[in-house]
Amino acid sequence: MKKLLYSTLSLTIFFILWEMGYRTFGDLVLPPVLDTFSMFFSYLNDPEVLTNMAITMKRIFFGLSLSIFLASVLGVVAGLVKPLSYMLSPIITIMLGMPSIAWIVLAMIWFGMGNPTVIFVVFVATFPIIFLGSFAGMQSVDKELLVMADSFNLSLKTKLLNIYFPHIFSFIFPAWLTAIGLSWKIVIMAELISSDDGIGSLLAMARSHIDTTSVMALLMLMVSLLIVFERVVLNSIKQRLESWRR
Amino acid sequence: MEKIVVEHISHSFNGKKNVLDDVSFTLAKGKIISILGASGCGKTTILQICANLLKQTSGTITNSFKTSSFVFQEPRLLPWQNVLENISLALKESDFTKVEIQKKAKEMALLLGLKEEDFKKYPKDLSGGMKQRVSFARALVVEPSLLFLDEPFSALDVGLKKELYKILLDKVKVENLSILFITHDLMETVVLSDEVLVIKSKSNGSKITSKYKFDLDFDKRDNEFVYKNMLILGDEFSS
Repeated sequence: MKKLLYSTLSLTIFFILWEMGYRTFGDLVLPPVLDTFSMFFSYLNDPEVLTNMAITMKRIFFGLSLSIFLASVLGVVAGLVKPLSYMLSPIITIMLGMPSIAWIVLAMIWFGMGNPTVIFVVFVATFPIIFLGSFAGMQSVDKELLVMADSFNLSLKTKLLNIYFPHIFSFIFPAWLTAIGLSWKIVIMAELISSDDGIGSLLAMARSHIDTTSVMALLMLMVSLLIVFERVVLNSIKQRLESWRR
Repeated sequence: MEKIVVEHISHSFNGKKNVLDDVSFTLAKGKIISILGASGCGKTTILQICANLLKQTSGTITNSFKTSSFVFQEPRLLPWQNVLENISLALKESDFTKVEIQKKAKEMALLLGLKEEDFKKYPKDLSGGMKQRVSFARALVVEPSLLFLDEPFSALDVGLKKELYKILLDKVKVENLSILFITHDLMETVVLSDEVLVIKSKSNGSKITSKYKFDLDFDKRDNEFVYKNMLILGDEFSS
């Protein structure tokens, strides 16, 4: 209850500062808070915005699913096969060091404008984070439990299901969360530069019209979607899988 | 007849100094052998080599026991699984149905003195003694013909120790279970073994320096017998 009170307080201060910004610098810099909110709510009924939102969501979904699946599996395999982990380590370091904007440039040259470019960028930007989460989980499995498993001659499948997977979950899940948050940001950037549909391109359009209210309302839309997704969907998965901790 | 024959086992980790030097013994079906030695003398290494968890540097092991299982000094339970799931871990690869596995796990849990209300608890909610009961149940539920024990009693109170000794001795008597166990506890050795191998650390790795056999039936071993033999072992152990 106390927590809720304080977070409401901080949000209120945030909006007050925003409104003061508007009153001081004018609506070119910051739009009125209430106008932004009414724009935000009108977007929720605007077929054009909703279509573009669906396009953006689809891109996040494909890029992220691909990277969650491949990076998680590869992390597990690298945890089991030492030589593979040595081979992958420099590649992952390079991928982590690459600025996302550089990927966008390369992807535009390779794939042109549109879906493949945006999906590819979401994929490569989130891949190393998830891989490292999965790999770190595999590395930190309690060796004594593995000896115990060997004393019963358990098969790899039984060891994966009963020891490795439950253990790496607490490493891989935060990595998924980080990747999801990152993909939300990356997708907008990629769309802004390399696509003529999706929320990012709406943002580009609003910028070219110097329509600050639309920019802020679109950002509000993306952020609130992310919050709803994280709080509702992911938290319920986490609660279910981690019931043994409580 | 199932047995394990250990011949001239020597071992060193990564080619460093020898840990074990020329260890030999034979464990027959339905017998209990204990290996008695100070901590750090390589007892666990012998056990791990016998259980095929470690490959010896030289020497041979012929193991004709059909099944074996292991109880460790620490319970080594899976923290994310409850009592029954932990007990049935090794049964997951058997041909039994889920219902049969559940039934076996429950029966074994009850035999080991766990209560119905504990079945759904996770390891973090169990006391040390209860965790070790679960660990024993997990090893016994697979109905092993050979059981390896790595000082599993050392952290338990006297009452629980006696309870577990009784369960194990029953299994030996009724199901002809064989046990190879290591310990540094003299009383445990006298109460629980047919044969004792005393192992001591020497310049070229640990060796078996003497063997004792106790022929008296387990249920006839009274305090007098136990103390008398503890004294004999104690002299050998500390000489």
